[in-house]
Amino acid sequence: MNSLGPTLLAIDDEPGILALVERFARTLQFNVVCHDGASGVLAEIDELRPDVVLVDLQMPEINGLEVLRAIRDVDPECAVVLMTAHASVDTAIEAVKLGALDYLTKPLDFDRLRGLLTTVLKGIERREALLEIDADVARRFEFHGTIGRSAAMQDLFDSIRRLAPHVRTLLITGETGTGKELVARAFQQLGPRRQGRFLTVNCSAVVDALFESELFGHQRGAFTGATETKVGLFEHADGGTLFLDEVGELPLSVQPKLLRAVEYGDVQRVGSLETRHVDVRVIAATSRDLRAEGAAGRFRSDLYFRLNVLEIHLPPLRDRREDIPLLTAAFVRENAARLQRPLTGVTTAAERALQESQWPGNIRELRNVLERACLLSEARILGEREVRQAMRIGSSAAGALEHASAATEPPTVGDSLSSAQRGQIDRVLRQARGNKTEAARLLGISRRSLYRWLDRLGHAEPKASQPGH
Amino acid sequence: MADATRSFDRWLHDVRNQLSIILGFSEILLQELEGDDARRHDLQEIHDAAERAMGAMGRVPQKEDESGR
Repeated sequence: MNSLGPTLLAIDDEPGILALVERFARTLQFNVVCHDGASGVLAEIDELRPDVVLVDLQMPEINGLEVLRAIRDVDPECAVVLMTAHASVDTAIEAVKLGALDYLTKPLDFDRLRGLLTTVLKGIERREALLEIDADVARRFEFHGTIGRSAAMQDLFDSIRRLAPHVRTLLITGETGTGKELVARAFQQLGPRRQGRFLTVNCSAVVDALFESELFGHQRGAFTGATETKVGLFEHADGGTLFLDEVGELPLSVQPKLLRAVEYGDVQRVGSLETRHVDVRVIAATSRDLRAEGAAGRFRSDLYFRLNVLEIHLPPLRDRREDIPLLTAAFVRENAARLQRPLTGVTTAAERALQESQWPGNIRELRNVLERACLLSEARILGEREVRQAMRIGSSAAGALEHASAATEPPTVGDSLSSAQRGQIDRVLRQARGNKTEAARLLGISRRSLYRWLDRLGHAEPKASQPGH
Repeated sequence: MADATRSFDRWLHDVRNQLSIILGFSEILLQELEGDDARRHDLQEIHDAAERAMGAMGRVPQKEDESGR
């Protein structure tokens, strides 16, 4: 359908006119879908996602202006052309006010219709060319997995290039989702330890009592349950890099031992008197203000100053909005490859919506929103509607997860969101007594999108039971 | 009277629609035919007749309904 080229939807109660429009539009490489009346077609607009609709003004049951209104509600970016055998100035004005692209009288003036359809085609081609450029620029401005052409990010990349060969200890600060781990990895890849290990420990995910053992290891019998001797992460990372994510969550009790390990490379397994020397580059990251945490007695100031030999701050996404189109292009292409669908980017209106958002979850949130929008969309270019819908689902899911993620391990945000999404879809499916069509309607998504979500979330549903398939 | 006007309007609309179909398809075929195709002349006759009929429709005296349309 949409994947093969632009789609034109023709609605007229006269089959001959439909045949005529179909015959003409096919010569311009449109996929043409015909409906001999408006009833029922509005429910399908969502799945069909036409690029242009040609609709007769005078039809029994629902007239063309009502169809135009309904389409504007569902998909404001869809071009709608009204046709009439009975022109009147009033309806022409109303059609234009409602956002119709044009108003054609019958017999159809093919030159004019060709002009209109060519305008629609050119618009799509122009947008796709721009999206291709964005994707290309995103590739050029990628720096070890981080994308940014803003001055702030270019300065950051320069700093990383200059400092990576020399830095032993580093503190990366920035809000959640700004890409701190990617920067840490860039330091590793550009530094002298690129051959060494890169180990990550998420300090917010480790149980307090196990911290010491995780970082420094333990001797067999050191405590109840220590049935085997265990090598800690510092020893594992010897000769490489240890990335301490969310270091602000580290319990105070472990901090002196960490300070010693960072400062002198000395580590001691729990239950052992022997001090071992390791050569580990420590990169710590936090979304907290560690200075304030220190003042409040929750983080040792000496450890803070030791980690803070060099501080790299990552700006929040809202402070580098010019990077949003590039990030969007990269994430949509990434999803297109993963979902094996010909998605090329977002529409201008969708891009505006993305630009205007505050993005408290930063790049991670943008990435998740685009992943959801890609799952929701039936079209080659994601529309404003899918993007806004994905943003709404994200904000409700994020609210439910906010507290949970602080206490439990958030290994990948995708997993966390999936559980929220699964919960939401399960609830709606129960509400709809298992009826997928009804569930899709309640969720405000198309039936095909719902099936894709169910696949994605691991709901095994026999596709043969799909109604109408 | 209003009913008669409405059904007359409907009739006009339907005939225009049918003529539009004849005109539309004949235009498409005329464009697709080779210049020296023997059928071109016949097709042009169909097209011109439909065009004349459409013109004649425009000269049908319009009845005014109660709203003065």
